[in-house]
Amino acid sequence: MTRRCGGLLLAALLASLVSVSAQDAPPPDNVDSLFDTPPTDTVVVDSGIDYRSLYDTEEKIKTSGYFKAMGGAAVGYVRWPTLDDLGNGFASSIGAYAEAVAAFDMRPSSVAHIRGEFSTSFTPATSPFSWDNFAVDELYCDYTVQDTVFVRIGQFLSTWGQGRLFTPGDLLSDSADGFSMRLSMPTVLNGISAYAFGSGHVESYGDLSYAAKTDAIVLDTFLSAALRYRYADGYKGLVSIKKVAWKTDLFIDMTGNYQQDLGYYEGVAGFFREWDDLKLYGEYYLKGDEHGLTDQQFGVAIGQKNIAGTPIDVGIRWLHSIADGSGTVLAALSWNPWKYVTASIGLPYMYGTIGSYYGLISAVTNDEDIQVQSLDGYRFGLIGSLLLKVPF
Amino acid sequence: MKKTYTLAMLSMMLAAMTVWPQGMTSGTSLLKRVDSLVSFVDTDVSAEYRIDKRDPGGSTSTTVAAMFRRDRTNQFLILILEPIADKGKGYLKEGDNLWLYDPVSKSFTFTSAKERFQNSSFRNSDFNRFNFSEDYRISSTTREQLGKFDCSVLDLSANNDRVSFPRVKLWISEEGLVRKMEDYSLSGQLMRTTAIPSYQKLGDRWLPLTMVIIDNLKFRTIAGKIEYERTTVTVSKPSLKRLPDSTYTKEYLEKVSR
Repeated sequence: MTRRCGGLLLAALLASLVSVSAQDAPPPDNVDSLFDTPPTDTVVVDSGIDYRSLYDTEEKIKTSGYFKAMGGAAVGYVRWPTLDDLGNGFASSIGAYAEAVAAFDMRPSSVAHIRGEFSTSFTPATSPFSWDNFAVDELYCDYTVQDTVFVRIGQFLSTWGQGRLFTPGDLLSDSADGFSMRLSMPTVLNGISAYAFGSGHVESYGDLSYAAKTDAIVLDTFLSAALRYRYADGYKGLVSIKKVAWKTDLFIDMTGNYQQDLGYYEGVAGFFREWDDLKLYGEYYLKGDEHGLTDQQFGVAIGQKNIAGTPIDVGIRWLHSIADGSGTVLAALSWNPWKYVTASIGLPYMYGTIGSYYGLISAVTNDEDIQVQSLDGYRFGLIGSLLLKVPF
Repeated sequence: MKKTYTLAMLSMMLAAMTVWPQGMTSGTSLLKRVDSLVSFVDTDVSAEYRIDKRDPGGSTSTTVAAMFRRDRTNQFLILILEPIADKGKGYLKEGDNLWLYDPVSKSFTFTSAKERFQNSSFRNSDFNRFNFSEDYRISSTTREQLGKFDCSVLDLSANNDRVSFPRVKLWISEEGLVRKMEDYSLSGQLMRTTAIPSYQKLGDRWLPLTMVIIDNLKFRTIAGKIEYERTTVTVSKPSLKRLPDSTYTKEYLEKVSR
C-alpha cells in the first residue's frame, strides 16, 4: 500500500513536471505595444543614498518571534506483520508540541550589532503542562574593525561543509550550544576565519576547541581548507571542493581525523540541481581507517514546490546503507491551506534487519513517545500533522 | 543556361561576402557600445529594485531589494527589503559564482545553479551589466521598427556555457540601448521575452527604468485567453556612492541579516 501511494505521488510529480512541455507552445505575449508611447528616457541625479544604512542603522532595535503549535497522529507497523497475525507490530500514537520563540536585534552603530534569541517549549505527553523548558538559542555581539576585521563573540550557530544529507565536513557542529569567538578577515582571499569555542563541559583552556578556515575561488572552482584542534579530540581537517558544471553543483568534502596515533577519514561527494520549483540532490558518503572502508551510504532527495500550481509541496528522500543493506524512504506532502497553517502527511518506509544502521530505532525501543516524534520508528506507516505558526 | 546560372550564383555570393562582414563588424562594435553604455566601471552603483510578479491567473507577489554593484570586479550584492519575512536574505555574486545566505539556517550556499531571483522571471544574472560582446557572437543582423524606436536586430549565439541562454535576439535602438530581448533555448524554443521601454541616465551611463519580463514557458489559458507569468521590474533612486570592499563579502551579508 505504501509503495503504491509512493508510486502515485511519484506519478503525480512526474505528470506535473511534463505538463508544461506537453502543451503546444502558444503565441508569445505581445510586449511590442509597450514601445508605441513609452515613457521618455530620463536623466537622473545621483541620489547619493547609502543603501547599507537601511540594514546597518535604520532600525536601532527590532524584536520578533513566533508561536508554534503542532499536533499529529501516526499509524503503522514498527515490525513486519505476519500473514497469520496482521496485528503483530501494529502501532498508533498521537502527540503534540508547542514552542514560543522571542528575539531581539540591536544595531547601536554601523559597526556594532547585538542579537539574542530565546525559546521555551513543552511536549504534553512527556512533560508537565508548563513553559519551564527555557533555552538561549543564540546571544552574540558583532563588531567590525576598520571594515576589514569582523569579530563575533557569544553563543551562535556556524556551519561548515557542503553536505545536505551527510555532514562529516561540519567541524563546528558542536559549537552552537557553547561560548564561541570568531575573527574573520573577509577581504583576504575569499575569506579567512578563526574560531575558539567551548562545547560540552569546559573547565580550562584545554577544553576549548580551536579552528581556522580559508576559502578561495580558483578557475571558477570553490576551494576551502579547514583545521580544528581540541586536546581531547585531536586534529580534524577538512578540504572542500565545489565546481558548477552543466548548471549543476558538484562537490566533495574530505575530512581526516587524527588522535594519538589513531586516525580515520570520512568523505562526501554530491550534486545539487535546481529548476524553477524542483530541487534534486544526491550524496555518497564513506568512512574508513587504516583497515579499509568501514561505512558507505548514499542518499537521494527530490522536492517539488507548488505541484501543478497548487500550494502543495511534495518531497521524497531515500537513504541507503551499502554496508548492511538497510535504508529508509520517506515521502512527504505539505499543504498550506491558510496563512500560518501547514498540514503534512508523511509515508515512511524502512527496510533492513533489526540492529542494522537504519533499523536501529525499532530494535531498541517500543516507546510510543519516540515513535510519535520519529518517523523512522516505523517499518512503514502514515503520519499526519497540523502545524500552526504565528509570527509576532 | 547553366553558365548564366553559375555566374548569377557567384555574383550573389560575392555580394553577400562584401555586405555580410561589414554587417558583422558594425554589429560587433554596436554590441561593445551596448555593453559600455550600461557598465559602471569607475565606481559602485546601487539602487532599489522593485520586482512585481503576476502569475497566470492573477495572483501577485512583490519583492523589494537593494542592489550594490561593482562592475570592475564583476561583483554584486543583493539584500532583500520586502517581503518583511525575507528581509536580510542576501545574494553575493563574484564572477560566475553566487553565494546565498539563509538567515534562518545561518548558512551559506555556494552555487551557480540557482537562476531565478525570488522565484520570478527575473534572473540573478539580470542584476549584472550586459556583457554581450564577450559572451555571444552575431549570427545575423537586420533592421526593424519597434514602436517609436528604429532598431538594429541582432541574432546572437553564445560562445560559452556560462550564460543563461544559448541564443538571444536583441532589438537595439539608435542610442545603443537594448529595448527588447528574446531568449531562446538551443533548439530554438522561445524561453523569455524582456522589454525595456525606458532607461535612466546616471552620469554618462544608463540603467533601465522599467523592465517587463514574460516567461514564455509559464502560461495558462484563462477564459479562452492565454496568460503568461509577467514580471515588472522598476529601478529607482540609483546612487553612485563608493562602497568599501567589505560590502561585497559573506561577512557583510551575515552581519546585516535579521
